[in-house]
Amino acid sequence: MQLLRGFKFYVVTVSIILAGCYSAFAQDDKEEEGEVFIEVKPSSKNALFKGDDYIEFKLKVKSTYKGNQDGKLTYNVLSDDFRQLSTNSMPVHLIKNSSETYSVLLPKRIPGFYRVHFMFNLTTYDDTVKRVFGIDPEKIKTTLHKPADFDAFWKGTIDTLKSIKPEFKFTEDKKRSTKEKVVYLCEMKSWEGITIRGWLTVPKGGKNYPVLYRVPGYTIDMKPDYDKEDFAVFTINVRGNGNSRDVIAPDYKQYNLVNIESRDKYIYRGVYMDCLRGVDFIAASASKLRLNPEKIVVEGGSQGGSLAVFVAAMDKRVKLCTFQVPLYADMHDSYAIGSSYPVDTWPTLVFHEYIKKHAGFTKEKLLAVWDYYDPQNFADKVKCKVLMGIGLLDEFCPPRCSFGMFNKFANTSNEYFVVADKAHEVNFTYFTFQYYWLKEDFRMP
Amino acid sequence: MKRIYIICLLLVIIGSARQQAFAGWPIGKYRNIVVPSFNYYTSKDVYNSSGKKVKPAGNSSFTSYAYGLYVGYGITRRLDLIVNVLAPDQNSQYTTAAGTTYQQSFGFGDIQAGLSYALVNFDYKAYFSVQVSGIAPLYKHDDQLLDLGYGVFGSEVKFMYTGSFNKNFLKGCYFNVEAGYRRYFDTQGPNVILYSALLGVPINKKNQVSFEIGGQNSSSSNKSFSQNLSVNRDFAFTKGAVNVGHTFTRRISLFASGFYTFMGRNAGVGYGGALQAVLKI
Repeated sequence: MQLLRGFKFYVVTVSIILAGCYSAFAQDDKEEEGEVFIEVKPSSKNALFKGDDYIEFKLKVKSTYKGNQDGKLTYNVLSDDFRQLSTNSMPVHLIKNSSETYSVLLPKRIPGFYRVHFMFNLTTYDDTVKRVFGIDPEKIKTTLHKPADFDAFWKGTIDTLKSIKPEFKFTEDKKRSTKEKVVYLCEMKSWEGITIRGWLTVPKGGKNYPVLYRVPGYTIDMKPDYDKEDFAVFTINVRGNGNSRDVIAPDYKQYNLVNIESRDKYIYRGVYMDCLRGVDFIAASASKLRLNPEKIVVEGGSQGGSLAVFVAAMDKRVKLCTFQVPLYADMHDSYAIGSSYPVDTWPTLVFHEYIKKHAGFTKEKLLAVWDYYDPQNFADKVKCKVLMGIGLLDEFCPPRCSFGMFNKFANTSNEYFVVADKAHEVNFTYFTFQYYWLKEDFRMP
Repeated sequence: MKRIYIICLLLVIIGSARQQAFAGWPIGKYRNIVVPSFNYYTSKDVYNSSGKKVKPAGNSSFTSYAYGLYVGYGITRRLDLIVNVLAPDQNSQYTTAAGTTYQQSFGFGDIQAGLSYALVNFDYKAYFSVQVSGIAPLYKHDDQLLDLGYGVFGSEVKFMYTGSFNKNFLKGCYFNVEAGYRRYFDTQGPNVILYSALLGVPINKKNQVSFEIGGQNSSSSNKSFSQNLSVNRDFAFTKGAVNVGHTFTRRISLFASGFYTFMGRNAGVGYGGALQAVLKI
C-alpha cells in the first residue's frame, strides 16, 4: 500500500514538473511569436504647429508576428490637463512580418499644448503611444497672480541681503585643478548669515573670461564644470545643496517644503538670495580671478531654470539668461495640471501630501506663498536675451507653463528650443546650440 | 608658359584658404574672420595633353610668391559674406623658336566675392552649404607683362559638405568635401569643375594636421595645346596637400601647408607651400 502511495506521489510529482516545463516552453513560444514596433513622427520636427497648419502624425508600425495583426488605431486628443477633446479611429491591418505607415490628421486647435494618445488594439497586441504637440506656443497667455506687495517684498529682501557682509573667500583646489583649468572653492555668507559655497573653473592662461554662472537643479550637488572651453564656469551650491549643507540640510522630499507655510521663512527666499550672492561674488572677484564681469550669463535646468529667471530679473549685471525645463513656472496652472494626472506626480505630489498631513494648510494658502516665488512673476523684469529649452513630454514642467512665462519676458529677441520626444530634459543638440548662442551674443570666436 | 600656371595657382590658393581656416562651417552671426596668407608656387615640368609628365623645351619655369587676404563676415547664422583677393609676384620664362622669353609682374590678381549659405544644418555636427561668388580682375591686360589672370569676369557656384566625426576611430576628426563650377565670361570660357576632399585630424587641443586632395577640370572650345601653356584653356590637374595648424589663442591660429600636383593634363607639375594666419575677430 505504501509502495502504491509512493508510486502515486512519484507520478504526481513528475506530472507537475512536466506540466511546468510545458507551460514554460509554451510561454517562451508565445513570447517568441513577435512584437510590434511603433515609430511616431509629427509633420513638424518639434511637434509645434501654426494655427493654420495641418496637424499630422505619421505612425510607422512594424510587426514581427508570424500571423496577421488586425484591429484598430484609436487616437484621442486631450488637453494638457487630461480633458478629452476628440477621438477617432482607423482600421489597422498588418500582414505577418510587415510594416505599414498610418497618417493621422488631427483637428485644428487654439494656441496651447495637447496630448495625443495613439492606441493600438490588434489581434494579439495592445499598446498606447503618448505624444504632445503645441499650437502657436508664442500666443499662449497665462494669468499672473502677483501680490500687490510683491516688489516691496523683494526689494526689502534684497536690501537685507546687502546688509549682510559677504566675506568672500576663494582657494585653489589643486586636486581638482587640471592641466587646462584652475578650480577654486568659493565661499560666502548669504541670507540669514548662512555660509554657501560654489566651484569656479577658469581656463589656464588668458584673462577676462566670460562667466557662465550655473545655478542648481532641485537638491543637485553642483561640482566643478570643466566642459566649457572658452568660459569660466561658476557653479553654486545654494543652501541645502552639495557642500552648502552646514545649517540647512533637508532630504530630497522635504526640500521644497521647508517652512512652506510662511512667505518670509520659506526656504526659497534664502535660495533666491544665495543665487544673487553668487553674482556679487563674480563681480567682486572678477579682476583677481581673470573674469569679465561685463559678460555674465546665468544658466540652469529644472529648479535651476526658476533660479536663472530670478537672477536675470533681479540683477542687471547678468547679460544673458538660458535655462531648460523650468520648474515651478506659473505655479497656479502647473499645480492644476499636475493635479490632473492619473497618477500623482512630483512635484505636485509632495505638496498634496503636505496639505493632507497639515490640517488648516490648503492649496490656496500654498499658492499664496508661491505667488511670491513663482518665476513667472519675475518675467517682465528680465530684460536680457533669453534662450529656453523644453521637452514636450515633461510632466514636472508642463510646456504650457514654460511658454506662459517665456511669453512674458521683455526682450523680443528671445529664442526657444523644443524637443518633441523628451520629458524632463532636452537633447545634446540643444546644448550645442546653447553654446553657439552664448558665443554669438558675446561675439566670441 | 604663363596663364595655365597662374590659373592653377589662383585656384590652389583660393581653394585652400577657406578649407584650412574652417572649411565649410558657417562663420557665425556677427563674427569676422581674416586670413592673411603668403603662398609659394613653382613649376618646371609639365603634364602634356595625354597626361604624361614631360620637360618643356629650353629652361622654361614659373615661380610665384603671392600675398592673399581672405575676409569673411557672418551676416546671419547661415549666411556669410566672403571676399578673397590675391597679389601675386610672378616670374615666368618659356622657350619658343624665337628664343627664351622672361616675364615678371606683380600686382592685384582676381578678386572673388560672394555669399555662402548653410542650406542644411545636421544638428550642428555637419553642414551642407552653397557658395555663390563673382570673380573680377583687378588688373589690365598688358602685352609686355605677364597676365595675372584671364582678365575677364567670372562666377562660381560651389557646394560644400562639412562636419565632424563623433564615433569610432575618426572621433574628433573633421571633413570637408566640395564640388563647384566656375565659368569665365569669355567666348572661350573656360568652364571649370572644381573638387576637393579634406580630412582634418586633431593631434591635441592646440595642433592639427589635415590631408587634402583637390583639383580642377577646365574645358574650353579652344582645345589646342602649345608648349607655351599660356594659350591653353583646356586642362586638368589634381593636387595633394598636407596642412599643419597650430592654435595660439581662441582668436589666432597659424597654418602651414605643402602641396604637389601629382596628376594633370596640359598643366604644370607644380609644388609649393603656404603660410596662413587665421584671425577670428
